[in-house]
Amino acid sequence: MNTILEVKNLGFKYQLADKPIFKNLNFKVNKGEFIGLVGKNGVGKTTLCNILRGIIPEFIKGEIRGDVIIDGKNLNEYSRGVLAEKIGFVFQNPFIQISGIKKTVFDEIAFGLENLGIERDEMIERTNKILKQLKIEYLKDKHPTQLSGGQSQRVALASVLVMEPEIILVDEPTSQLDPIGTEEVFETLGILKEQNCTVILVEHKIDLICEYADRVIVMNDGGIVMDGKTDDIMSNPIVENYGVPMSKVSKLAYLLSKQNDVVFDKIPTNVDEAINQFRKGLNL
Amino acid sequence: MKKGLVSSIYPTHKLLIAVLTIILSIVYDWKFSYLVVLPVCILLSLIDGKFISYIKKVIIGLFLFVVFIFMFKIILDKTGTNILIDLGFIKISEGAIFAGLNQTSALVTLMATMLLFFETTDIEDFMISLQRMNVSHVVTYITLSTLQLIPDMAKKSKVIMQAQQARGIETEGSLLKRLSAFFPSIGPLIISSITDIEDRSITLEVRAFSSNNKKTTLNNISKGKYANVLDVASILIFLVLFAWRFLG
Repeated sequence: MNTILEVKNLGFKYQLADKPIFKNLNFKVNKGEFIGLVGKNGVGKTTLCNILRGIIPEFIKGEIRGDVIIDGKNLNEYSRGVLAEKIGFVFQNPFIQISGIKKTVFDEIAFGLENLGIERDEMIERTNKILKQLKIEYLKDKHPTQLSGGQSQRVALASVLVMEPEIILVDEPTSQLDPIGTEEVFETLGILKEQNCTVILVEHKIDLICEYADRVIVMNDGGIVMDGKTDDIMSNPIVENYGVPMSKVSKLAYLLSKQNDVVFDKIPTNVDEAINQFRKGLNL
Repeated sequence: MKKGLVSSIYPTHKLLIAVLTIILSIVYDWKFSYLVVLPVCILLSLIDGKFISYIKKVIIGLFLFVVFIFMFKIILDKTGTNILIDLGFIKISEGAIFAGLNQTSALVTLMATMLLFFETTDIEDFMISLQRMNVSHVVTYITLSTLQLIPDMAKKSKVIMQAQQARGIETEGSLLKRLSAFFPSIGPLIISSITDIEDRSITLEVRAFSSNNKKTTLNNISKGKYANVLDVASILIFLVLFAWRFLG
């Protein structure tokens, strides 16, 4: 598999902090991988995303060590404009992701393309395509500030996806959303997975991570403590030592197998897998 | 929707006409502003279908700035000889009235033309027209977002006031009560606006605002068939009127 992103000995300390938020991070991301980045609050997940996107040290100052290699080239060697084409970033707060100068969702989504100098006809075509893909065509004439949380987050995703970045960083996209909004955003992330996009998703909703991610990276106490296939990591009860709960189905299966009530081939991590495993284990 | 006569003029051409008119009002006396520019602007707003909202702004502008300056001028002016009103402590002379009119004439033209300009111009179209003149996209963005900032800040101020209200602070009632509730909200308003600027700059970074590629625009605005004729005609009329003022 092709490595699209590599983090080598990465460390960062905020300007006024006593100690680094993390040090010596090392991992590789392959093209088309969907990675769930999990861990307690304050372990540096958002900071890592900010570094990968170049927001740190460009906008947020601090001491940075190590290297981030994107497509074989060090992050520092990319110009800010090229980096915007290469890496898309969707923030935690959906309401601060609008340009503030556009009057319709359609114009808002096309804003990034205007900055990239895309010709008008192509701009319209790509914007229409993404509206259709994310099922938000009905929002296209609405004012960007008059959307609900879920709608805003999907518009923010559309605004980034329309630029067709090679890597997409999504930082807790559902933190401020209700269950319907959360579902809407994950539907969109599912589309990205189908399209073989490289996605790094920071998220606390473990059940959804188990549903979508191919691989999970667990961060704790200034470093990466677990890194592997979603099934392997999220079915392992050790993950709970790092403040990351197992998914509900994994927990249930784990507790049942521990008490020898049901014997499983392996602990399931998502609902579909759980149905199969429970059928087998309970001889249904 | 079909645009009105004034609205359909290309933004920078419209701005040129407004600027030339303002220059003329500086060299001409009060009659030009009060008897020509102001009525013509009101008439144009009527033709463009923007009369109601335009006249409201003009009246507010007149009361806020022009009447205030005018009153000061006629009350404080002691040079007039032909006294029209004598209240003992205040004497209003004919000379003072004309001096007041002359003093405020450029301001009236500035207000009448610029209010008509903003009333009949889509700000985004204006920014696109500036970008086409090679004005930096950073400058046009800052201008555009600053113009959007006023309604945004008004909205935010409302939210802060509601938060104050929820904490039991009285925000309604007499003017004094309203003012005493409003002033403490200025601090949080400014701080949150500064935070917004930081967030906005990161948003722009993500949306390739700093890209070196030549910017394109989604909205297509055309100059119209008679744009150049309008430009030449307005400059010629300006030159004739300007020369007439000094030579005529």
